[in-house]
Amino acid sequence: MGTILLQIFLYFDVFLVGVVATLVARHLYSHFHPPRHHPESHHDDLPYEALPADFREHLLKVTQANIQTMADHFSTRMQKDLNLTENRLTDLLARIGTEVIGREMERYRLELVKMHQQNQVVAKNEEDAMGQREKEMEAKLNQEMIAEKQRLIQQLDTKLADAVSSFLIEAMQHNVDLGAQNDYLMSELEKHKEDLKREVAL
Amino acid sequence: MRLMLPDSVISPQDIQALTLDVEKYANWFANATVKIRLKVGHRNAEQPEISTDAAMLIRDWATQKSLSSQSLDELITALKDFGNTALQLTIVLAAPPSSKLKKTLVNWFRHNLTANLLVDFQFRSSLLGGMVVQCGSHIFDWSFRRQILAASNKFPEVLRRV
Repeated sequence: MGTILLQIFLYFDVFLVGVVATLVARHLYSHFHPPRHHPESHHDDLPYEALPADFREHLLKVTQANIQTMADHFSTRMQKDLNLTENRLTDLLARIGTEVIGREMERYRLELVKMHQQNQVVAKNEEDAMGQREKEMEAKLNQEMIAEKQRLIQQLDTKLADAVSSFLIEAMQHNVDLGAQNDYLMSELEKHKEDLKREVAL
Repeated sequence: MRLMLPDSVISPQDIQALTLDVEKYANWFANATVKIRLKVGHRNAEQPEISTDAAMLIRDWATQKSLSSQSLDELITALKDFGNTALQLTIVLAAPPSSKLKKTLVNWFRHNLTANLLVDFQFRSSLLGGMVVQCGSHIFDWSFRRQILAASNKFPEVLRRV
């Protein structure tokens, strides 16, 4: 909307400048090419050539001076108008520029806010997803650790059981059967019979 | 007279219980004899409750010498002498032994060492198995615990092999 108004204003100013330039050109043309006076149209006036030469010279000078004065006056006024117009245009352009820049900045700020919010949402979603994945991985890792721990414990139990059994077999030889010891006891007594007899004899 | 103890009499406590039963029977016998002589009271006064071993011992003793208060006193004296003079062993097992095991062990000792022998049985679960025999001042340790401890330095080697 603002851009259209600016264009209309600029076209109007160009139009004014054109009008002013046309008027200046017509005045200059009239000054340097004065129209011929027809004696039929001015029956009451004396013909120009009838006037004395010095008077005609005087009239010419006076006319030139008046035209010069008018041209200067008009030029000065036009210069002022141009300056005023320039100032107004500058102010208007500055104001419009400021408004445009402000609107653009506001739009940019809103876009930034919107993008920031979208980024926050995306980041939050990513964070949630990462947290979820982290929890899942942690749970999976815990399960794997528990399973590995159980496997190691079972392996250790098996190994210890084998080791204890082997050790007992090696340490107890054939007497490892703890449930039937009678034969073992009698064999030990027979084996140490002489020692017992010596002790009893003492 | 020879004292023939039943096989079930194993420990000093058994000798004491047997002695008490015989003393109880001797008291009853003396009272019953006096009542019979004086012809007072019930002739068929009930005998006191004594153990089977005591009854068997008295019957065996009566086969060697006629039953009288004097012979019963001699039996009591013989039992006390046996309790005081018999060789006493202490056997420690990993669990309370059965009567059969007790008899088997005591018979072995009485046949291979000396007939005058009493055994005090004890149990200690920390032995795990086997037995410990204390004979006088000497201790024979044939327990599983000692064997396992003696072989404890082999355990790392066994563990490496498994």
